[in-house]
Amino acid sequence: MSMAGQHAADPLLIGTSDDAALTQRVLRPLWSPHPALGWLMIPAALGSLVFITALCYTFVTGIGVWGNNIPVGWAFAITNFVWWIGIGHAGTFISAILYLLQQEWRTSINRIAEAMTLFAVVNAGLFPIAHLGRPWFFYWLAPYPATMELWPQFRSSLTWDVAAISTYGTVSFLFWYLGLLPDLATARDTAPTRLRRRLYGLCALGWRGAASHWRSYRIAYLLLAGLATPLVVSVHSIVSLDFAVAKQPGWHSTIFPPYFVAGAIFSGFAMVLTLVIPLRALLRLQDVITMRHIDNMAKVLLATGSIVAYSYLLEPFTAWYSGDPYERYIQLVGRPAGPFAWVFWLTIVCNVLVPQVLWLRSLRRNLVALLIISLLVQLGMWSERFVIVVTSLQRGALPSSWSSYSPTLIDACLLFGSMSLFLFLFLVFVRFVPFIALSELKLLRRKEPVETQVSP
Amino acid sequence: MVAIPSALAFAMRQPPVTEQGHIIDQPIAFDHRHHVRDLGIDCRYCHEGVDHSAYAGVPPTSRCMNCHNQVWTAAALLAPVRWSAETNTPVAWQRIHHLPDFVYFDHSVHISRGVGCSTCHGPVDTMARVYQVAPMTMGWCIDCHRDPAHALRPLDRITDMDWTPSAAEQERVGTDMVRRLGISPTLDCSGCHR
Amino acid sequence: MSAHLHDDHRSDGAPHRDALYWRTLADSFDVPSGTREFPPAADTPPNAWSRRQFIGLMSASMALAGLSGCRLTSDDHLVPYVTQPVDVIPGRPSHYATTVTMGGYGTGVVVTSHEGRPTKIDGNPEHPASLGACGVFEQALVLQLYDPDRAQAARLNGVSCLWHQEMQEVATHTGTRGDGLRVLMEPTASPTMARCCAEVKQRWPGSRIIIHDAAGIGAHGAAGQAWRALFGHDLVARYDFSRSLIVVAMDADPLASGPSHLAHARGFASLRRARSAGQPMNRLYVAESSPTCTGSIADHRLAVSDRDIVDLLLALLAELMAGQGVLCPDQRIAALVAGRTTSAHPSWIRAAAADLAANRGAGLILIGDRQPPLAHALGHALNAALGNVGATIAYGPSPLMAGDGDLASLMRELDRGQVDDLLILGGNPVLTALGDIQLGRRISQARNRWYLGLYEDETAQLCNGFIPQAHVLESWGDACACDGTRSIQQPLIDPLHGGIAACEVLAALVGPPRLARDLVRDTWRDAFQGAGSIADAGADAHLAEVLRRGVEVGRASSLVSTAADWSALARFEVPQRSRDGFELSLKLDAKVHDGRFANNPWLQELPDPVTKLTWDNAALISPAAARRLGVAQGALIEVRCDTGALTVPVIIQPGQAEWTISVSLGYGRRGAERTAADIGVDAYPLTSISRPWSAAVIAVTSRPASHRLAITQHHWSLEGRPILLEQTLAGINLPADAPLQPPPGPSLRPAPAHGPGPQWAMVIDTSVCIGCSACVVACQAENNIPVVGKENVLRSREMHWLRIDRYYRGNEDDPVALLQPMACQHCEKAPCEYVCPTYATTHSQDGLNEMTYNRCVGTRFCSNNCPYKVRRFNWYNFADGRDPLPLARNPEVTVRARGVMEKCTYCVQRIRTTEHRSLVDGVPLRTDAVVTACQQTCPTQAITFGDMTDPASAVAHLRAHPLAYAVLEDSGAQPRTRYLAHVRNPHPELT
Repeated sequence: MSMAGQHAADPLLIGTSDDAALTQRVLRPLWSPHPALGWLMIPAALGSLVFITALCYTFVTGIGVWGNNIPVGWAFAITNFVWWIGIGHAGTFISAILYLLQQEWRTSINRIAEAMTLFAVVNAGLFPIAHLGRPWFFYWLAPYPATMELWPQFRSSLTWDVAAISTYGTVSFLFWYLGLLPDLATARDTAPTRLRRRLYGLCALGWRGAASHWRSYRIAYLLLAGLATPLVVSVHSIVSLDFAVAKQPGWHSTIFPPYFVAGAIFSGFAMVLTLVIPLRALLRLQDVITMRHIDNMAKVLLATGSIVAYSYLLEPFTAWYSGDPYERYIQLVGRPAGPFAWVFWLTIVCNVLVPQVLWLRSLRRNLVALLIISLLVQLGMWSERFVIVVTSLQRGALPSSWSSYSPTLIDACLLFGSMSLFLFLFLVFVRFVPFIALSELKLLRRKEPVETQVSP
Repeated sequence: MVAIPSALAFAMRQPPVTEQGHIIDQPIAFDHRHHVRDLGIDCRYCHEGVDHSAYAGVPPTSRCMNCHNQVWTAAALLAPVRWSAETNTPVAWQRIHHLPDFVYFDHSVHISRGVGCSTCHGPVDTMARVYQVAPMTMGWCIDCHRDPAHALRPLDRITDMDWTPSAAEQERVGTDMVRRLGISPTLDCSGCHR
Repeated sequence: MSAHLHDDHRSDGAPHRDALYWRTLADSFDVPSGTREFPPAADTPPNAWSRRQFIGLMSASMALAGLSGCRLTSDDHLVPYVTQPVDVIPGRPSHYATTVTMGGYGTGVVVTSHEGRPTKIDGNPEHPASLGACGVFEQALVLQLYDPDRAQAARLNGVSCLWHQEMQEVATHTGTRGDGLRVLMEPTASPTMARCCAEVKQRWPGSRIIIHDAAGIGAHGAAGQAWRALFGHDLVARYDFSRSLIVVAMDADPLASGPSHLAHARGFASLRRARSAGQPMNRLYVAESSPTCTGSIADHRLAVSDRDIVDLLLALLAELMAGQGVLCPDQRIAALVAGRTTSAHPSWIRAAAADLAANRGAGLILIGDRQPPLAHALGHALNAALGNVGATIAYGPSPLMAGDGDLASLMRELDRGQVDDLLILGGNPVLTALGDIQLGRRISQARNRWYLGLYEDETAQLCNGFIPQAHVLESWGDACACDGTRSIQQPLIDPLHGGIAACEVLAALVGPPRLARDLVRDTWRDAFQGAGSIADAGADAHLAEVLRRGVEVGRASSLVSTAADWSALARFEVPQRSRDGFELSLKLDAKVHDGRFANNPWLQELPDPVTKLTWDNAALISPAAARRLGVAQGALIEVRCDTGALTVPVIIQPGQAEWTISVSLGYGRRGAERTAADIGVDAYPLTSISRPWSAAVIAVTSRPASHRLAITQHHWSLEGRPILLEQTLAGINLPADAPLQPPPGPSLRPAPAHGPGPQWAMVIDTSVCIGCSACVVACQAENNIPVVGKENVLRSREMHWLRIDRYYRGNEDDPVALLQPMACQHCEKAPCEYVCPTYATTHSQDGLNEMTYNRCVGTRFCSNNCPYKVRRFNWYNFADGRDPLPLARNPEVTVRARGVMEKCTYCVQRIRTTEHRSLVDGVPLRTDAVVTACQQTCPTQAITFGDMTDPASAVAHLRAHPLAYAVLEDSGAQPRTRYLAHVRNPHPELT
């Protein structure tokens, strides 16, 4: 992954302002927020309200209000779940793996990516519970000493999910918050009002920047990074097993784990770009988040996109090569020609063709184009999950039970509502939390002049 | 993170939740001590279904009147019984032993395999008002189904309220019953849930 | 005491029962009396349906359940009897033999009753019309009993009244001759009804009894006319399928409709089980316009319009005479044949003729009730010429009561104003009368109109007097089967809404009101005294025995010799040569019959055996016709006929005759029944006296609009997958040969642990499955399966645990149908089990795939992973109030809540109960002791169930048979349910 840009002339940090200026510069949005962000919060809040209403309605009435049926027992909810979890991956990838690989270019964007991960996981965690027939018994999936003297079944990949996602959520949060500590302290020290000083001080957990603090901080950060790194691979692998362990044609595939992880990082980076590009323009962060960052992220998009394309190629091939008539039907007839074939082709366009244009340097540096591409990629990744979940289920082994699926208004509300909730949480984050790793930036600033010449 | 679940797990096993020892007023102050201990009436005289039906059964008013149209015919205590018989309206007793609707328990099978009344219902002959003795949780059921020997007694002692063998005695009788009757209680879900 | 209780419900002042007599009789045999017979609890309003409250229902008033205790859980009462009936054991169901009637004919049934609530209806093995099997209609009656839409009270001119006083009022103002009195009733074969009618006629010589039968079965249909003309009196033909090697059915569905279809199906199946080459096996030729159950398993099915049947018969006759040298019974027929030569379908006719000629006395030609009398006459000619009459066909006296006329005659009298009092006893004639009779308009010409009905239906709305009718499970009665075997109908429960039996109404007309029970008793006594030599005591003893067994065994009426008078042939109208263009073919519905079951949710949601349509009726058109009209499935078309127009959605039905548009009757109801409202379209107005079952289509125009049809199966092709295997009799593999199906490959999953006890397994013989769907309803009744309604069926959320898959092979205009009952296969390596995170679905020691509802959180992973997609999910709280009939539920089966998965359990409640009984009674468990609901009711005995480890069991035997196979064997799930390959017996020259 060494794309720190042998040829990239762009620096990671522009301008030689001193630390105080840098602090002033980065924390400005906290003290004097940009009005546009405030306006944006209104629709986001309304959307979140719709989301919560739809959830409550589902809980009260039963998931009959969704479009699901027999045979299509899973549909939107699981699609959204897998999609959000995937998006979450970029955060951990950037903050943990790139950190271990000493990729300095992660510095200005890792905080944003980590926050994105958290909010994505929050959304992702809601759907598996919401999609239960009796959500009030969700805790039966967790091992606890019941008076029934029963444990959950550990052979079921759904119980693995519970473990994987809760771990992932916890570690991501710890990692994110640990990284925040020094900057919260900085915020405390530079906050204009007394109240804010108090609040940030509270959150800073008494960080004083002592050498001992820094030492334990560095160690803890390194350890957490090491801890989080396997999660990047494990979580989506386990999510992919929800399908791979099943006998259902279209799911029963060994390439799912790597294929899902690649897809996850793919969609994750697309989301980071989607967030960063407007934010950068809005808050004039061009000197902190430079073209170098953008360019590198575009390259990751291209790389992971190509892996995904390869998996798409491999799926029908293995189906054909296996000779299994049911797999063959799904892969060679059901998806390209059956109901929702258009979603399948949409996936191909968005995930296979579109990212390939990123071979062109000019397009990697064209922000508008990049924004559009990253949006298309996310659309494509959602449709990919939809194709996997729905088109497989509606064409099972017995033709007599073949059926179709049509989502309801509630399904739509939940999908777009969850997006709104995500946006809302993110805006709150940008408003109140130092969303750029200030302390690391200062460190970088010291190395930077060297950095620009020689690549690591 | 850990404290709350474990506290709950503990609470779920306590009498207030399992309703052990919970005393309820019945429409008629029927006293098992008198009828069982003093008069020595066998359980099956009133709970007649117990050995051939899933339900032990609650005696019809006529059963009470069999005796009480002879004795205590004027007792105020028995006014509700007479009223029931005269107006042909049944007595609505309060249920003590609750099993959820999805649990299918068959009295007759347990009786025929040597599970005594007092094994689950406790010393009813000492109860002024009947209350629940056992926790009646699934785990409690499963314990016997996993190892029945410690809960069995000879078939002629089923309704014996004084059956309190020594551990060794119980061991001997239990294993003997298991062997002779070929007792292998079901551990299948569909044994009780259908 | 109980007798008091019993009488109190008749607040209308009906006389008291002769309690003493009946107590003794009750003790002498298994007729419940007093509280036993009529537990008043049965009419408590459905409040909550926990199993224990059902036990609470063992006595009168749940109303008392008000005592409050202070507990965490909700109050729960134990309500015992005041006086416990002698033979009632709370928690153990009782079974009573009784009789249900359709079109007058009786079918013996055994009703299961839980603490006084009838919950299930099964066939009576001793009754010739049931033989232990039961059709969909009979079984659905239990739901009809509890139907909240049933009429509640008697009324006259809008105010409630005492029905029997009003009857006496009618009796008084009707003159001595009673010229203005007309009784319009359904056909009946009830001796008691016959007696009551006779009394009415005796008291009022001028009165007339008109019999109306929408189904037109037997004596009241075309066949009846034909027999009357040919033989001079009413006859009914009895067909013996168990001796018929060649069956030719012309526009007939003998296996799935008509009063004897259960017996027919059983006989047919007995010759359909050839499991090795050389065994006798029948061959079925069917010519019909629209696919039926019988047509579905035909060896050679011909799709022809109804109007072409007569020509087909003539051609068959011609071929037999010319090609096979069969002597024509009469010159006039020969002339007719000579006059009409057709060249259509030569190979089919040649093959059928050859087979019939080669199997004289072992063939059977059946003509459908919708065909004109001429067709029936020709059918008789064929059977007579082939020596089948007396061998496979016997004629007996018609047990149906002969009336004084039909609706047409009543119509004329109404127009002439000759009818003062019209007493309608059931049947909803306003709906079912032929279109051009316009009874709805004419009926008002009668000054005084009384209607005895179950519902406030179309007829009730036009009658100024109404009396709620007692349900067949609520009242005494009797009936005869086709072969004249008499049986008694006894009530299972006190009339929920004070319903009255038809015979009680007639009795109240001629004298002081009497109870159906007494009327029936007297009828049977008189019959004995008539027969002589049996004193009262003997009569009562015999009556007791009949009541216990539910049928007067071995008393079929003797046969009559038939000498046809062919001169009658001249009286039959010879249909003119069939013209081109579409023909509208009207038929009774497989689910609502003539409309009487339109308010029955079970039947409305039952997928039609052929189209799999629910909650609707539609126009069936052939694929070719669809191409010609340029319409798609569900498109609305307007069919304009000489008798009127009809706008109806289209179903493109493979195997439909090209020029026939079929619409079933009984929909588009306008009565007060809520379930039936706004479902389908009413096609009765298009019928006419001259053509009761068809109409000539003037034009078919496609409308721009379309209609959403709730069809449960959308894909009809096997996609070349190993799902349904076929075999021909000639090609049956003998054990030496290779198996039909290669064994599955090696599996990584360990084989499941088997306990020491029995291993339950099922084998389904597709060779004899006619798709009648009786098993589906049986399963629904036994397992408390909720009804989900049209909207949810449209979202493919129907809950039937057992469905009958239907596939087609060959070209879509003339395909071969393949049927496969599909329920949980109870896989030994079940894919559903290892994906459930909560152990809600597990494997039992005796090989069941268990579904533990109360442990299910509803992830639906099990359903996704089920190769057969037989699992059903409670998307809403389907078992709530919308499922109207908690009293009809089986207390042995949990009522599933919202959000849990469910599926076929092999009727585990029956297995466990049987096991417990064998333990308690100390008798070893017999391998055939457990009978599943579907198996019990199957008319053709296609389903076998038992312990596969017992070498003596039928299941073990069949599983070992070379014809046995597992669906999707290659999936490696090792299903416990196996199937026998569908064996056909095609004519060598037609293959």
